[in-house]
Amino acid sequence: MSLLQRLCVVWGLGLLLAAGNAGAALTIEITQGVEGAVPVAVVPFGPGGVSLPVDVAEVIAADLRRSGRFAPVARDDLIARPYEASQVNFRDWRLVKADNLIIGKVTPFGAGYTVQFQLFDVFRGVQLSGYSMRSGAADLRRTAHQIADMIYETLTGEPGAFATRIAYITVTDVAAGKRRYSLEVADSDGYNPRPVVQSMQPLMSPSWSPDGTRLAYVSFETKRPRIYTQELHSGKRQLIASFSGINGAPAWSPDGSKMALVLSKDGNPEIYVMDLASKRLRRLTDSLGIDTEPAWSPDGRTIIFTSDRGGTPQIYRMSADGGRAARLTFEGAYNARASFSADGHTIAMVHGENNRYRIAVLDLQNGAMQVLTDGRLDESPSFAPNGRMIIYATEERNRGVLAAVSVDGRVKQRLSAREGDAREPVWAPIRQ
Amino acid sequence: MLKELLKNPRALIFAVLVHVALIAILVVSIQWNAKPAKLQGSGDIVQATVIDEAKLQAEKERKRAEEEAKRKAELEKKRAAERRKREAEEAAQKKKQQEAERRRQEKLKAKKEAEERQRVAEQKRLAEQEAKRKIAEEKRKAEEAKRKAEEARRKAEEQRKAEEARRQRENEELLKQQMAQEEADRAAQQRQRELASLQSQYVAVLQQRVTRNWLRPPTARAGMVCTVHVRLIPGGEVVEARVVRSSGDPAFDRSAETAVLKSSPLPAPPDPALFQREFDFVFKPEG
Repeated sequence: MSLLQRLCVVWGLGLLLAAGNAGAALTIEITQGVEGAVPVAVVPFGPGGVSLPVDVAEVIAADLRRSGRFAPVARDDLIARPYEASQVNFRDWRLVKADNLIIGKVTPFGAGYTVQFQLFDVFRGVQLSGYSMRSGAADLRRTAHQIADMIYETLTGEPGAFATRIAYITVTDVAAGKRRYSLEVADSDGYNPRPVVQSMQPLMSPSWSPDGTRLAYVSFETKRPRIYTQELHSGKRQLIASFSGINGAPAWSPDGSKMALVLSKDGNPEIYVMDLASKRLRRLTDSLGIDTEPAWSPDGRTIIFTSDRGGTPQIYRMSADGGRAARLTFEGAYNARASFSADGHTIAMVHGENNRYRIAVLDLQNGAMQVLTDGRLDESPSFAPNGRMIIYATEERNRGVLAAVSVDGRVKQRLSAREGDAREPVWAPIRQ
Repeated sequence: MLKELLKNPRALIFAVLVHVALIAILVVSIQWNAKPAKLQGSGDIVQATVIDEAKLQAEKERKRAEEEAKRKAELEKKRAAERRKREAEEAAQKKKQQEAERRRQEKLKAKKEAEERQRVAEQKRLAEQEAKRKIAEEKRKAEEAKRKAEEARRKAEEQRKAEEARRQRENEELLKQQMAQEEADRAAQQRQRELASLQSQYVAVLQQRVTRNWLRPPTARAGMVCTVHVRLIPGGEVVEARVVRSSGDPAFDRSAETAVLKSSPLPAPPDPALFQREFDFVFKPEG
């Protein structure tokens, strides 16, 4: 053996030893992970014995599950039922492989309740968050959604969107040939629906004002489509557009000062932008095809819309000030009804292929299109304000129902709905 | 003494004669006292003449002297014969003695010669022996030297061999060590590779677990980034999950944090070494 070799050996051993001695000399790279929901344990809130109108823990668990980010442990698998920190044994929860533990307590307080919750990191054995709040008897669901939002934000770093609302249209057969249309607003999980406006003529295309206090929609109550806005709180409404031909697809600008809409007063349907204060219109598109379903980018500078100017309906993008439109979608024979995510990086749309219409997202940064749903007639996708879920309408036993899908497509869940067809859901912005 | 005399008759006779002579002398001794006879050897006869007054005396004297002289001459003659005889005897004796001496001398000489010869021979023998000894010594020394050299060579060889063996052992040891080291290095490398592979497995498992628990909020967009710092205890239980870099979207941030907390306890790493107490999950949605 040559001296050099010997030196090499010594050097190599030295390296090993050095590696052994130098503490963190060894680094292990983790580049792949598991795509999946974080297991959490949501323990029924204590102390029991109190009859509550709402199972707060269940609401929280359902919210978390629906987000796609979390996988609540089934109740039967809960190893213990602590509702106070002193009762928590983290070892138990490590055994069920729950990353996080949520416990809470609901105690009557006056006419309502005091609701307290604590969120724990099971593997670190620390509390991550914990609050106590008052809740009116009728607001327990809402309180539960708020808790879910706090938990969600603590764990993901992003705001939750559970204590938000959705608007949608329901159509109910009331008699032979007679249908009742209703614009409704409900909690994001579909609970607590209440009508905003009802009509025996079609209601269509609800759109939230950016502050979440008003809705714009199309009503055929005069047998012709008109665009109205309506204050939710007071019910007060305002006629926005009543031009000849089509008045449709209203879309509030992010700053609330303008509204994009579709008018066919000049021939075929074109995209216009109306200054809501002055009611002045500005036409954005000028094509031989149909241009419809405008949507604003979160920064208000861009409008995307559906156009069949290329032969099939596809998504185009143009400046909110007008100008040339650029086609965004090239996959599939049908792409329509696009809307932006809150960060502006993604658009959701109805993607039609082989007579199947499903919800897809297009990553505007890398051009990747991903189909999220597998229905036959999925329509009207709308992003949750935090961009993590998309609500849409789908068909279930020849009936339109609302569903939510996580933006990675992993979790789809039907929202509770009453009778009738539900369609055109739109997710409200986070309440200001 | 008698025995001795009997054994030697000549000596007996000599002794008798001597005694007689001595008595004779004693008899005549008074005259003699005035004129000491010359007891000399043969040959010299003294001519004495009385010159003076006492001529009777002198003549008497002269007659007695003449007798005396005559007896003396007789005696002298006898003595001379005896002396001659004795001298002959002595000469014979001497000659005999001389002969004996000569023979003795010869004998001695022969003996000496023999002795000399013997000595020479001995010397020669000794010299030879010495030479032999020297040769043997030299030989021995040579052999010793040879042996020593051999020993030294053998020792050197042994040492060399030992050295060789030692070197070889060392080499083998070195090789073994090297191999062990290489093995250890290889094992470390292997382990590192394994750990790296297990680490990516572990990361994938963690990724899968948290991805499965991340409920991506729909607000999640490419470009969003949320970093969740986690702290574990060894069982994998998440004790802290904290957004350290916000996407700007609280829900997105919380989803990321929850994804991590929900994944607790996080799967154990395939190897405990990979366990990290703290690290980051970066939530970065694509597309």
